[in-house]
Amino acid sequence: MKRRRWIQHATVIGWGGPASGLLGAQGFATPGLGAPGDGRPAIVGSTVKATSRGGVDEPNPVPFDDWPAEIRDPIHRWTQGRPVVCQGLWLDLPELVDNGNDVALQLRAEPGAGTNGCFIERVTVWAPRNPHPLVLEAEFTRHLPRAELMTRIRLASSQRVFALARASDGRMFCAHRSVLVALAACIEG
Amino acid sequence: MSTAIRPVVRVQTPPVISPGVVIPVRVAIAHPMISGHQNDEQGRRQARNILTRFECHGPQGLLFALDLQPGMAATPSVQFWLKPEGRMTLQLHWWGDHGFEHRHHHELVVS
Repeated sequence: MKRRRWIQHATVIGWGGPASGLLGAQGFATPGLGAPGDGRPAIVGSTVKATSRGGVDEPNPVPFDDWPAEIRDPIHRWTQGRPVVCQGLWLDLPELVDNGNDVALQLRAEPGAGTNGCFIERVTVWAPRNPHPLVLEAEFTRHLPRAELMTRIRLASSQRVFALARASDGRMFCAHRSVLVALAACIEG
Repeated sequence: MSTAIRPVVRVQTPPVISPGVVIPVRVAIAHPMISGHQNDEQGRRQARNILTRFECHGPQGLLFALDLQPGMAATPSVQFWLKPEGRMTLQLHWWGDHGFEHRHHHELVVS
C-alpha cells in the first residue's frame, strides 16, 4: 500500500500517470491516471467517442501535436502522416524499475489488428527521454504466427514509452506505458 | 566475421516440438552494447559499439528482423514466435558497428 501511494504521488516526466498499459478503449487519457482534472497533462485526442446508440466507435486518431515534442517529427516520418489510433497493440513494461539498464519489454499485436489478410509488418518502440528516442524497430513477416516480441531495453529516466505498429494495409496502431526508473541508464560514468 | 572473439550465442526453443504448434524462440548474444553516451573509468567518452541488426531466416526466407538502437540492453535478447510445420533450420545473422558480423544456425526438430 505504501509503495502504491508513493507511485501515485511520484512525478512522472511526460504524459499522464504511472501506469496505462492496454490501451484499447482507453486512449491516452486513462481515467485516474493522467486524465483531465487531476492536474496532469493528458492526451484526449484518442479517447473513444460513444455513439448515440450507446455503442462504441473506433477511437479518434492521435493528433499530431499530442505526441511528445522529442518524437513528434520522427513519428510523423515513420507513419508517413497516416492517422494513428491507440488500439490493437499491447505494451507491457514494469511500473517501477530499479535499474534502467535492463528493462523487460513485451509487445504484442492484438488479434484484431491483423485480420482480413493483413498482418503487422513493422513495430517501433520510442522512449522520448532517452538520448536516442528510437529504441528498436522490428519487422514481422507473414510466416510468423503472431506479431509479438519480448526483449530488454534501456531507459534514461522515468518516462512514458511508446510503441507504434504498422499493418500491411497501412493502418497504424499505438500503445504507451509509463515507467518509473530508480537508477537511470545511458547517462552515467 | 571481423571480430577476433567469437560471440556467445544462446538459442532457446522447446525440446519437443509438435508440427503446427506455435513455439517461442528466444535468441541472445553476448555483446556490451556500448551506447556512446557513457564514460569510461578515466572519464573519456566511450565510442559507440552496438549491434545494429538481427535477422532470422527460415526455409521460406526472412522470418523476423530487428533493428537495434543504443537503447537496447547489453547482451540483447529477443523472443519471437514460430509455427514450424516440419524440420527446419533457422539462420541467425547479426550485424554491428565496426564491421561486426556473426552467423549462427539452429536446428528445429519437429516430431
